[in-house]
Amino acid sequence: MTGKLVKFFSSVKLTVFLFLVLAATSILGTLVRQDLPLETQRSLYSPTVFSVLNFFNAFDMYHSWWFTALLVLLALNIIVCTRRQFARIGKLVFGSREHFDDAVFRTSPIRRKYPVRGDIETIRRESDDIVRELISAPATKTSADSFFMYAEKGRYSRLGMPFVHISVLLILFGGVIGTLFGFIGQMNIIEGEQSREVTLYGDRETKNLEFDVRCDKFTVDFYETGMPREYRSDLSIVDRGGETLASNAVRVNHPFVYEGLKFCQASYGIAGALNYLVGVRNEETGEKLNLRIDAVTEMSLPDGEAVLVLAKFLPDYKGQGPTVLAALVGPGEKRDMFRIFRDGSRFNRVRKSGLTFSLKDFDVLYYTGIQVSRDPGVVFVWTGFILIILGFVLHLFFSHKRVWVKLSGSPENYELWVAASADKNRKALEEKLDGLIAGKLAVEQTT
Amino acid sequence: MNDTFFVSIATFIYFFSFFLMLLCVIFKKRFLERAALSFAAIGFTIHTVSIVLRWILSYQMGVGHAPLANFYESLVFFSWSIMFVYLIARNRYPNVFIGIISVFFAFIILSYTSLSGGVDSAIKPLIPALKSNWLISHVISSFLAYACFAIAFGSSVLYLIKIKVQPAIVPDAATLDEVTYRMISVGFVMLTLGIITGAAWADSAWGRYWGWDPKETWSFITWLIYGAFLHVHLARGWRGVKLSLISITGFVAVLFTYIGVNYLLAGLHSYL
Ligand code: HEM
Repeated sequence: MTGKLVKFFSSVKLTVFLFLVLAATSILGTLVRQDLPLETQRSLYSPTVFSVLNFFNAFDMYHSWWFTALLVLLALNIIVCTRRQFARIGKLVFGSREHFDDAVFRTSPIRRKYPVRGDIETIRRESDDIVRELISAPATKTSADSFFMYAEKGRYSRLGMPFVHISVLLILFGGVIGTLFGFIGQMNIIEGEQSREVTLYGDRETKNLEFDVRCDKFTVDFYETGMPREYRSDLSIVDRGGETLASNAVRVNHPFVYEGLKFCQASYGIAGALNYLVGVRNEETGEKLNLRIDAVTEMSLPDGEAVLVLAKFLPDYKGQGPTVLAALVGPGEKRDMFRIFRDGSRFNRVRKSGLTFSLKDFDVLYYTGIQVSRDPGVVFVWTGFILIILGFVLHLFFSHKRVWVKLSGSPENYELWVAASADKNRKALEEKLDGLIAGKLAVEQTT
Repeated sequence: MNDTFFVSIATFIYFFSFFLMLLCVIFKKRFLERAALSFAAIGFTIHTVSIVLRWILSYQMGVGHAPLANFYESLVFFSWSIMFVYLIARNRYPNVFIGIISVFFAFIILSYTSLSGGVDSAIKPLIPALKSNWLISHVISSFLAYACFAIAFGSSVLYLIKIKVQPAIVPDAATLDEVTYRMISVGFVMLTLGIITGAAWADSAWGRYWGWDPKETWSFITWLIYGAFLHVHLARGWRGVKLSLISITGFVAVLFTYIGVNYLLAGLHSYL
């Protein structure tokens, strides 16, 4: 039973199958929007299609049980494969550096045998030169009328592929840790205010931080073309006692990290306005007056009983620019809402009272959308990233080359045996070996 | 002088080089191949000059950045990468057909950028999300990967033609198979690097290294397809037609990741 299971999980067929299923289902996940609330999804599909998709978690596919199960299968697949691979290469990588085994002259992919004559010391020196040039200085066993040489290079390159495979495991592991123990969400903070409440993505639940985050200032900067140049929030971390623990600016691509929490600039918006300057003109008398109003409040008009109420600021009303929703409340008059537009706009309405209002100036009050996240799995992911690149470098740029040379027979008819192997690009090694032998083995070769 | 002027010259030279390579295949004259290669190298030099010049011009305009930040710039860099990979690969595979594939793609892509009219070649300032040190490493590794896959796609198509039609002028199938495999094994590493640098960038710009955004997901899909290719090749010994079909599928995924996602799916990567 375990044998069968191990066999199942060590098969590359399973790997390829999982790759293709993951690819196919991922395509599905890009066709069905993953970022919409369920109510919106419901309106996009017919009821049957909706319930089928919902049954298969298609609206949050990448976090569904079955997608996770595919990744778990892949992880098991990698574990079993890597174990098996280690069993195969372990001795080659960590074994002895003196490998004198006659069998190689029968089994190696590259094998040569030359009858040679001459002085053993000369043959040994020349063979030594060849091996050195081909690979590296050999280990040699010598006796009166024979020798055996062995040399190798790049044994650690065999670790390249296991590194790559293990790295994938690490990355998957980091992802799991992040999902289980991390969180990600957003907080919108109005300039000058502070908050500790983070609205989590996905389920929309909220989470309270251990401290408040205050937005000291928010600025958005534009190029001449009107394209945004930079968004910047100056944030402070404030503890329960009101003491500022840390302050830092957050810009896009420049997050602020505080005690494992990462603050990123995610969005911004207009929360309202401050310091309004409202112009009032009496159409009958032509009298003009400017009112300074700090915020959305009530304000008595100086010349009468009526009270001006600024109720709501709208950054843009139907493309006609910023407006303030206002009401004029006089004694006995019923509230009548109207909009105050910018100065010079012809939409400023004359009220029953005979007054015209215009919005002369105001300061925009921004809120900044700060994404807050904590991901304790990220170290594993980065480590995996570095290791996978290391593995690729070992795999692509190095190869494990080995060569064996043996002299046997008697001085009258020595036999020089040469064997070699390389885990990559064997042909190049073979050509180089033949070239070296032809060029360096000065000993007379009998045919 | 404008950088697009140099791009046009490079386009013409690539076309001429392509033409000479075709003649070389038909008349089997070595000197034609050498001439074609020289033209390819000259075209590549001018192409490089255009990119460097654009870089300098952007600084003169006060919006300095590496010219890798919009669709036009990415197309110019894509064709540059194909030529770059070709000029390196031809040391190992001095086969005129790799040249034909590469120069053809480079020519087609550059012609599209200048002729389609839909590709804005103006130098624009960078939006905040693109202002990152990761931009250069991410774009370079991704496009080197795409270039390798483009050449692999070409050799796979030639392979299928060779197998089905058996024209005498196309090189032997084994060479094409080998080129496809080499290109994909290098391309896979570059794609992995591209995904990693992209993840690092997303982590600093958006606060998470992976968020299943459509562009991210499609790069993952592409990665899986080429991963499947490598495993059936190395561990199961697949060769030939089936492998060519995977390589062609992989390139379709590359094109979708590069272009399709931006037009057909909603996501954060709305710039190219
Ligand atoms: C996402 C996960 C994986 C990645 C990124 C990956 C990547 C690779 C790469 C790049 C190669 C080298 C191919 C070449 O150079 O032609 C390779 C080889 C190989 N992989 Fe994977 N692999 C993964 C999962 C697996 C799994 C689950 C298995 C288990 C069956 C496996 C088994 C093998 C084997 C047996 C080889 C050949 C190794 C050799 O001959 O040296 N791989 N893998």
